[in-house]
Amino acid sequence: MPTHRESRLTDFYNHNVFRWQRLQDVATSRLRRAVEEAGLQPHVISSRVKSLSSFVEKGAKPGPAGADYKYQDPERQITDLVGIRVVVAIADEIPALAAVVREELDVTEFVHRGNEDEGQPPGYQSLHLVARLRRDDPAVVEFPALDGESCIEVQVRSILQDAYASFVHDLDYKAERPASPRTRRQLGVLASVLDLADREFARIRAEHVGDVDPTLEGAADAALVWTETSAAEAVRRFVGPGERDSARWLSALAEVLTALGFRGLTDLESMSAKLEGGAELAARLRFRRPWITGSQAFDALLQRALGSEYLDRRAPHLSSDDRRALTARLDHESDPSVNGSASA
Amino acid sequence: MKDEQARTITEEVLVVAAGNAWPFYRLTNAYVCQAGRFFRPVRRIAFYSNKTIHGVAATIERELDDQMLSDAAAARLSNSLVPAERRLGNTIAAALAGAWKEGERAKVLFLTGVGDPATATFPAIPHRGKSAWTMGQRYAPLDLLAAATTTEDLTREASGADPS
Repeated sequence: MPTHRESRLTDFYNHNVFRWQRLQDVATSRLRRAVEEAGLQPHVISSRVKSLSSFVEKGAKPGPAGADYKYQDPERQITDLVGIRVVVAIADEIPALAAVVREELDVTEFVHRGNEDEGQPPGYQSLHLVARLRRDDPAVVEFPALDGESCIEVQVRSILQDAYASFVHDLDYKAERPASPRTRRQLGVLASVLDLADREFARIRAEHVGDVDPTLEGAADAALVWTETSAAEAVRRFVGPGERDSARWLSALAEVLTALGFRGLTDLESMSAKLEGGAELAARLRFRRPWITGSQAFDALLQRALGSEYLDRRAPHLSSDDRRALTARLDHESDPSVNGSASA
Repeated sequence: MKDEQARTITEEVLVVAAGNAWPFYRLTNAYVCQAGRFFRPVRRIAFYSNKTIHGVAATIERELDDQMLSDAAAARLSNSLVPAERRLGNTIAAALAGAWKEGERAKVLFLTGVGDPATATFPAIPHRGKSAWTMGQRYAPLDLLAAATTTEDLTREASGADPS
């Protein structure tokens, strides 16, 4: 006998499933085309709509101690109703793929699972982007019902990360008993080996195509995707204390740094001459816009340092009209002599 | 008769009580108020505070209702590659640094700034009454605002009443 909550979730699912199926078709085809146009060659692009049983089970999942349910508002909080998985050959290719996803869809969340704490050994790793169709997507224009809450989750991971995730998923969901501490430890070791292998693949390929001097030490340690922690360190180093910076702002900055193609602090250090004067710029910006965060000040510093290359790197597919409008806006925002939200 | 006709087609300006909103506008070129607040379909907005209608009638460039004011939205939108979203993100960040609280929903108006050719200016209009000229919103024709020496000149011309 289903509970009231399970019945409610079932009704919600049945009412929306055809919309999600349409979203799956449109979003997957948009990504396939964009990936091809960008010249990327992912190993696999697959997609699915979450099954009724999986949705109800997840929505009725008990919460941690003190909470009845893990999701208080599952209809809004469960964001993987449409799932798209893109598996690339090696982790080095993830940032470029993520940039394409961000161009094609309206990404509302960007989380690198497994990379939240750089001090911890790796485990499950995957880049998760929660998204919806863009409002100007022809499918949304034609069928406004496709607009709405973000319910498309795009997972981007390497072949090795996918292998690890699949194996652990099977252990967690199909085994008869929970994994023992010994099994967990062995998995942790394995994840570290796979992480190292991913980096080695990237280094060997870069060396092969002549991007990297093989004698350069530390190249393999470069960050593949920025985290809140490393973004905070970049702000501290180039701008000063990250005033008003919350995890959300740092996460947004990490996304920008990833999209710009910086591979770590050493990459930024290599252009430190251009990044001088960050503290002064932050102070001048805050004179007229006291709410400016350290992350925003650092982004303004990057815009000043990179000039037109900033948009070349961050949004290479913009139309010339969009680029012109965005350039005007960025120029306005990074100009300390004008007020904050004014139109560009 | 000709004057009466001119009066009927002159441009109506929304004048809002603006203790916080006036300095906020000067910083951000935006106006933030409670979500769902009704305004007549006007093109311009002016601000009243400290017993003065400030001599600026900004053009409303865009109206966005029912916006979530949150740190997450501010961070996400401020880093968007869509100029209007970046502007909204900055406005939300500014609102949260001021009088607004995390999680509140609001209507946001993007306005032209002081010095913008689309912003009309006129001499500031003092209010000599004992009570506030408005504690919510009123409407006044732009040409009357431009000609008035005190708010009494607006009242005599029977401008829009304050529904609040």
